[in-house]
Amino acid sequence: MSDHPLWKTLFHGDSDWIRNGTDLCNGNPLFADMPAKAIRWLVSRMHPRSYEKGERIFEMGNPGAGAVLLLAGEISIMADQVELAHLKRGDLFGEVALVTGQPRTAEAVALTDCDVLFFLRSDLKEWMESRPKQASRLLINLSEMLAQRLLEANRQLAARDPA
Amino acid sequence: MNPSLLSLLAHPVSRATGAFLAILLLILLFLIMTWPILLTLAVSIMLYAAMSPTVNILIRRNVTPSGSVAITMAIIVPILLGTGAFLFPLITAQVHQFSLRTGSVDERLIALLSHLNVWVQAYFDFSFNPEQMAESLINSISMRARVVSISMASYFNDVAFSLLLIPLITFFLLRDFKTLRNKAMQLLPNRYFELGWLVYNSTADQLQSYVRGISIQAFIMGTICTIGFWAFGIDYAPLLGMLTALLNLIPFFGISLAKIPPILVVLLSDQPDLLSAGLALGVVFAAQAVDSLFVLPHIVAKSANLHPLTVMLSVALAGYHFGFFGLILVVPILFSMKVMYTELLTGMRHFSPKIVYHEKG
Repeated sequence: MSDHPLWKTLFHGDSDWIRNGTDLCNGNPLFADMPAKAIRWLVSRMHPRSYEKGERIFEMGNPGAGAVLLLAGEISIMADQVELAHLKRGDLFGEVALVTGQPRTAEAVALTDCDVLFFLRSDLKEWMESRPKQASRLLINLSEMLAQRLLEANRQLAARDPA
Repeated sequence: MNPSLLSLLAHPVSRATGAFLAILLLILLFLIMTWPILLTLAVSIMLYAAMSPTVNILIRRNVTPSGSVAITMAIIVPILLGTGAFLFPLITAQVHQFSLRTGSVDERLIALLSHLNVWVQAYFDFSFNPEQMAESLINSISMRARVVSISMASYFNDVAFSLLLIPLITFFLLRDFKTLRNKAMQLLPNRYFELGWLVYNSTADQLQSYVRGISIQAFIMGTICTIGFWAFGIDYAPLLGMLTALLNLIPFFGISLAKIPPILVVLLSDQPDLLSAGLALGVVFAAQAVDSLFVLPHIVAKSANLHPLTVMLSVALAGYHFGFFGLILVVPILFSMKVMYTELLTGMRHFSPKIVYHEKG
């Protein structure tokens, strides 16, 4: 009973996940050029969750509420039974949902027991209302990340079909 | 379990209905538990809604969250509580005075009803007993006015007690509401976590804009009517202004109902005259014109969007079962329930979580 993810989720020692999350965000391109204090403040408003091995973090086709930062464990990103990415501690995924509530294009499955932090679109909206300058820095970083992905996808498509 | 029963239970409508009923039950339990301080909580929540934009502006200017809350409260709370402390005894006194005066208007009412009886007899060939009807009307009005007067007096004690509690609750709501909400949402199981937030955000956005819209609408209507009644020397101006604003919120019936209290007050005054009645009606017409031309299209952007028959029946039934407050509150409550259920159903239709359990180890 005490091992159930719900109890872990509820009684996470606050300072542990905030410290852990802040450290990981400091090295992530989404939070580049942002003051450490702002990152800590933002992380403290994120949502820690624990998943058991085999549990789905999100499913393909479901609307996304936000991005996910992997605090501990391993996660596989899959589409149609094909593994697209193998994620480890510190990786951030599902960032498209920070911009839009469109259905997820892949699913995320926990390969081991893992702890994650949800950074929701509504958190970003609230942050934009209260601290627009800092939030605009994050939005620029997010745009760069998504543009990079688009360019990469275009390159892959071009390589697959040179004609 | 029977597969057809399982598929029925897994259907989005069944799941949305189950979740909706569970939420309603929780709300009901909350209301029962907090009944003794419900008024205090309601006022605190209204203050929270009114003050949170100012707190956000201060945070944006790099003031700490606690500092922003303290500054906002230091400015706004004394103003609001001062206005409340000024208006509440005034309105209580007016209700009390009105309840006393209803006893002295029976002769005027009997004369009015006698004229009506003669007119009805001449044109419709039936009659009624004016004295009996006047007595019954007077008894009913004075009893109701006395009940309102007594309950308002007892509420004043609550408000006096709440003067201490309201700022405290408002302070903690402004500072910690989001943290408390996030903790509550942490109770959601993993597979419903994203869905829960999507439903919450969508419902909260719609309800916030609706409640903010009707509050501004009631405030503008109340202010115009109070100033208008005061300017034309009509008795009980703040009380009538408040009543007209509240009645105007009732769909379909409100536009007509809002005109009754000022006309009644003029007719029951010591010197009833046609000009005062016309002026009272004019004030309500003017306020309703401002409401229809400027307030409704620009502020109450999201209308309740309920079927007219649903509104008519629910208003009639709520009025019958719960009286005046039932009339006023039924549409906002129905709208909130509709938004919540629709969002849950949409969410359940889009979310079809399948759990895959792998062996641990």
